[in-house]
Amino acid sequence: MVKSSSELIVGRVVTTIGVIVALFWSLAPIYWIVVTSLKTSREIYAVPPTLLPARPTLANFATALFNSKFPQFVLNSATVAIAVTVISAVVGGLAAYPIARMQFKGRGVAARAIVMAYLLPPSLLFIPLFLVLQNLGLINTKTGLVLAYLTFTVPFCTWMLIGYFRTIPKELDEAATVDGATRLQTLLKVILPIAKPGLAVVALFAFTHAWNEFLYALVFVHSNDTKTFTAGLTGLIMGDTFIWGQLMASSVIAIVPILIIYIGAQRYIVEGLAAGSVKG
Amino acid sequence: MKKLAMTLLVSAATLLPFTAQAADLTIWGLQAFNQQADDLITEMATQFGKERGIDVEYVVVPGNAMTERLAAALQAGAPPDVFMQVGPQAQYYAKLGVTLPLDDILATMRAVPGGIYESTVSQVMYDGKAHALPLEVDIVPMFARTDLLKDVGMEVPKTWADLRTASQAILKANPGITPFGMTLSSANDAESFSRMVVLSFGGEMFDKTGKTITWNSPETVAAYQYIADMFAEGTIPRSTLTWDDAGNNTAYQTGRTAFTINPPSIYQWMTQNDPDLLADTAMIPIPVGPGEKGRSANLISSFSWLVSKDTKRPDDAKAWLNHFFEPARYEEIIATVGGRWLPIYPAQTQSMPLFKDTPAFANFDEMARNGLVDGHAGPPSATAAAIFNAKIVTQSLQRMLVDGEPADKAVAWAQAEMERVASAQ
Repeated sequence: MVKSSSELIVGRVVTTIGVIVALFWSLAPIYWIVVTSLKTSREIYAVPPTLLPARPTLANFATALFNSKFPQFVLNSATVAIAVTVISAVVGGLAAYPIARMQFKGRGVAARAIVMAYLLPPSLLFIPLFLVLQNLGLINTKTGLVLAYLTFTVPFCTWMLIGYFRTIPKELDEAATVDGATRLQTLLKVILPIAKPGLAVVALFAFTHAWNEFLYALVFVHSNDTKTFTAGLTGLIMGDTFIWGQLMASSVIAIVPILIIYIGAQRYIVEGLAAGSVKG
Repeated sequence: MKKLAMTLLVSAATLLPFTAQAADLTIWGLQAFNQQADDLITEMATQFGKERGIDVEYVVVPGNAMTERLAAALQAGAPPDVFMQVGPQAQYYAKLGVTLPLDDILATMRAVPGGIYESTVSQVMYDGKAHALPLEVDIVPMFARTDLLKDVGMEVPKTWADLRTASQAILKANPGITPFGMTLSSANDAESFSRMVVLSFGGEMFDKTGKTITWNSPETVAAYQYIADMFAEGTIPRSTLTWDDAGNNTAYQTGRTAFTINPPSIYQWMTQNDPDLLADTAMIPIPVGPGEKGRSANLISSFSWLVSKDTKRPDDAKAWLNHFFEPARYEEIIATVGGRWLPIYPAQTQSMPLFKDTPAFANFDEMARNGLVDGHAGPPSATAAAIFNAKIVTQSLQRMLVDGEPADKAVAWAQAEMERVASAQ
């Protein structure tokens, strides 16, 4: 059915309004964070609040970068997040492949258990995990934090990759088997190259989860050598005093790596999400 | 892609050498309200370790994270050797049986010329022993805008009646200002501040033995009614029902309120950011309530040091506390904190330029000496702390202000709830 021109105009207007609302909803907090980071403390508390800084200052950024431990916290976050990402993608890939492709007893249970493990709330797990890490001598270490994060990133990556692997035709595995490839060779040489977008998505999600995580970081590590930036930011809330300028400047700095990665991997993310999550 | 993967793998591999390196003595301290003070205490702890030949780790823990961290560490059987908490919490940890008595160090502190503010000691006593050491005094004055008072031809209020009259005049002259910024949500500030109003009117939570709850009294009802009347006439803003602990700070710092009650963090902010507002501000004692039982009820608290019962180094832990409280070293810490902590030694309040020469602190010595503690007229107790944590007082105020319950009924409800909490202890 051909739409009339008035219907088209109404459709476009509604779409445009929807996009504007969605953009405002998404970008307004980021705008406010950036603008606040450029204000003096007095202006932050001004009434009425200013939409743009009257006298923009980079002092909050200078303090965060050169007069605080924040760069160290960001580096710790990056180290932990990269380790979690690599291990999650590798383990997730190795766990997802047999569940997606092979027939064995307990396959369905394993798949469901993985989803359940992902759904367990961290607030229930942090004390048992603390005990485990304490007994392993890994409290207040980045290794311990990586292990803790793997408890939710590995199930998540496995679950996502199961769905993605199922979208790849089984005939490819069969052809590789006929050519004499082992299961591992099939996975490494045939399946994974095709599953790059899916891997990119799970890696990105694992990285984002680890980068943004707060509760475990707050409880499991405490020294400046191990603290991640999310836990470090709490140091800028001193009782009833919020150091808003530095908080916002530090948040802007912390957003940058994620932003760069998302922009760089945008194509993979769209492909991976479309193929893995929707069809899976 | 392969290069990227290799880079990531190498980065991950760098994690491997990071294994646990437990210090000989681990100390968890609450954030001291500015970075310089935290750095100074860290440096002192390191220096202490060098002098004693042990490895000392000083960990700065944000106030809002200490309870969770301690809970996890205690559960795991790995608490820090020494830790800091806010005063009333000392009772809780002592009751759990996880702390060492520290009477010997308290005796050393008391022996310093001028002694210590004894008003803080009851908070750390459990079963007749000092299970913690108060390391400062938290004074909570009223902040008053002298310029707004001057505009309406009034002085700083000395009584709650004065405060209401002044608030009405300020509201009439400045409709954009909500005069009394009293937090009435379920934030900790609201629990503390509402106790101060009730205690000023002569109300009390416990009798002197600390065993009988005496909240339901004509004085408490009068205090509730006073709050309800100001709320109804708009001299206490309705928005106070939603404020968090920073709500009254923000209201005062943005010039939207003429009076509020708060520790000197507002003062610190003004010294750093708004000298004009500071010049128009007086920090005054809590106003006096009506009638024979009326008084200026300033509720004090303090940060305290505790030593874990399971520490393998009790002598080193106690040596650290003696090191910390050595008067000259301690004075340096207090000076660096910059006014948020009043020294535990009255002699230092009288001698340190920060307090002696700053008019804003003129009333602090008297307020510290005469301050009341939570659970008044009884001693601080685990029951009083449990009642505080249950937010019963603010809930009863909200029943009155939001649900329209009469003041006497709201007070009676609070009494019943307090008795219920006490019986569960």
